[in-house]
Amino acid sequence: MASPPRRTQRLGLRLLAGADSAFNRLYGWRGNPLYQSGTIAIALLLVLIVTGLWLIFFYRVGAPYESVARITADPWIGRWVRGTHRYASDLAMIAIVIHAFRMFAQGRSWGPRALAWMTGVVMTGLVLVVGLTGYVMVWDGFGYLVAREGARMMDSLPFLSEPISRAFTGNQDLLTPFFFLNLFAHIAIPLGIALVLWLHVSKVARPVLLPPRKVTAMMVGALVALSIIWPVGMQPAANPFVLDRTVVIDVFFGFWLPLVRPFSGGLALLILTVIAVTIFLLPVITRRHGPDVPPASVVDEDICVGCEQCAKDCPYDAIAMIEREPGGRSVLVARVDPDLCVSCGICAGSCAPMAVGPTGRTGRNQLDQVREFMAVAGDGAGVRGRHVVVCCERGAQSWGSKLADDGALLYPVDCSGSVHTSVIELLVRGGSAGVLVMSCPPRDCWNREGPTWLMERMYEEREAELKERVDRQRVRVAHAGAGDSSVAVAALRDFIVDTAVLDSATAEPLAEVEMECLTADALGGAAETPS
Amino acid sequence: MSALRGALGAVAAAIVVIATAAASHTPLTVHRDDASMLRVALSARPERVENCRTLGDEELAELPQHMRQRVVCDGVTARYNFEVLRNDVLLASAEVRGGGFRHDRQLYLFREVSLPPGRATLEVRLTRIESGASANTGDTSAARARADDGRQSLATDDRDQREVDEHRRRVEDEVPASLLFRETVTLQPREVVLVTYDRDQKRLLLVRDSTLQAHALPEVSDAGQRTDPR
Repeated sequence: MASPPRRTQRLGLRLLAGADSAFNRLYGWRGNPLYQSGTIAIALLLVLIVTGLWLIFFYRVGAPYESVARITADPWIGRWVRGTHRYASDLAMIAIVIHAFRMFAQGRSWGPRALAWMTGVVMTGLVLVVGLTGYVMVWDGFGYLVAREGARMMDSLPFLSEPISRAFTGNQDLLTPFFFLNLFAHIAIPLGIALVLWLHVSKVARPVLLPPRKVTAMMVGALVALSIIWPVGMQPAANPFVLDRTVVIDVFFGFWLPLVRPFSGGLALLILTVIAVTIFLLPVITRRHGPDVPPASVVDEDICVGCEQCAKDCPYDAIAMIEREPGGRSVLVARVDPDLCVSCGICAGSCAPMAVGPTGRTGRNQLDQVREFMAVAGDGAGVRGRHVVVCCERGAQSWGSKLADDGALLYPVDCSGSVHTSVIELLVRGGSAGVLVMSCPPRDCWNREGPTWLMERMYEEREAELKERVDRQRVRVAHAGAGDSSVAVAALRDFIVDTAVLDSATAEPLAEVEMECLTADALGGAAETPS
Repeated sequence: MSALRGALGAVAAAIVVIATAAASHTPLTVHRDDASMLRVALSARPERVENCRTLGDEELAELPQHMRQRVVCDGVTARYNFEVLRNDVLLASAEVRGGGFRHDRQLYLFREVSLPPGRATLEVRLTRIESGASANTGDTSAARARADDGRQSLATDDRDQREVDEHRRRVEDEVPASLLFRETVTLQPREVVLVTYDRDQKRLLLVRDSTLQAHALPEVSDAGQRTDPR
């Protein structure tokens, strides 16, 4: 059960829904770059490393501006490698900001995910610093401005007695050691980024680090094309004896310059520090309390058969299998670490005997809830002969009414990935004309792997699989984001058409279905024990 | 439909990357007017105002061997009054001290003062504030000279001699009690001139880009490309 979004998050979600929908129309959900912002950022960092390694061979700390000018003057390779390097850094910043915005809006920045948020903020800061050292390396007007403003802020610190700004007065040529140190930072900090990246993904299982090849190829192609069409030129060299009226800056790395220039160095540093610390501490500031905190999953050890499926499926490595006391019903039993559990409920859908899940959302609870739904649905007529759309609450709020207009019964759940297949079985065997499960696009799953596991449970016999006895023609999974109402409506209409040719659905006695799914006998004896 | 969608996707991608490239080349106005600038940047060793005393043999004997120093001095580093004047009009002033928590490190000064371009007489002063601080004579220099003489006369071994040499070096390195720079200069629009301290000549001096004097300053277009007339 996701926590209710706050006002800022609701606004963010609306923006995301619109943007996601537009990009889904253009590229399909598999190619939607907005869903891939995190992995795209990593891919761009790799592009930066590759192009940077090439550039480093031609950069001279003794003649920084001249060496960059020489690289830029090479029309065959140098110019576009430098352009690709520069534009990749810009796109990386865009991808990082989109990724952070997405995580914040989707409420994925606090609780057990706080470490990911905080390390992400640290990485963003490091990327920013690396970029700025890169501009200082060029030592043109922008590089000089960055160095001067940075020094101005650092000079406000009381423990630095010698003003750093003195280095940039023009009294003497900047020494080679300064550019060597700058180059060292430009190379060494990415190593730190790699370390922080490891921390960033340390609390997720099976982290995905790279976008699909098609997206990667398109991105690299666009970068190279851009660097050829709009090559990065040389601005005038830094001159400390001239106050340039205008300096051409890279907004993605120099955005802070207009903010700090009107203020003294100390105040500017304070402003930037406050902003950075606030963003860093966002998980603490937005932490939920009391009933707003979704409950962690719990394991009913009397039912758990130690099959390990929940531990395999958990997207956050929050479930471990431990040895049970001797004499128990299995050697192993699942144990949830509440500090890692984000209450996504994926485990509830993975557990064949329905022994695990967040309080009130286990497979057993889901069956209770669907029985209640079936009792009151259709003004008491039940689901017999009706199409049921199982969708998450976000989708239901966004396009649920349109599906209802087409005659479908809506059955909102917390996350489609947490739906136990017995729920679907119950609906089908309860006489539904068809059950359409609408999940978020897999790349946009708030719980990372929900749609993936859902598909495998439905079609590839992943535990807890949809039983063979369920008529697959009456079950379908479709993907639609919160902004994809047309996609959702089209999917339902297609499904209605496809199921219209089937024989009339026959309802089985609900009690029998329940027996299959739930009874203690079935669980203890006759139930299939997952291997 | 698919081809159309592909074309639209390509157009959208092109718009995004071109907008990125445009944002990557954004002109930022950093100096709206033609004001010039006087930049004062220097480092110097501040003078040390000391009370020196020669220890007697008995006093020396009471000290651990490694701490036996015939002449001991207590004191502080001097404070200085820094002023910038243009055509005898005070534009900036400040009290400056040596760096560090105890102000016993080098004196670092970095100030930038905006000035209108054109011909003007610039004056930069750095004047010691403390005077007559010596308890012995009321004359710091005299006291220190006497202390040095005392050290020299009492130098009995290499260590004492090294101390004397080190102290002398430090005194020689100290900034004079008063520094004055005064010069009439013609400032080009947006030109920066630097006043700094020459340790060898113990005086303030003006540094400027000589190539700017004979030519008008380069103009920077909105696109940031400087059209250099040189």
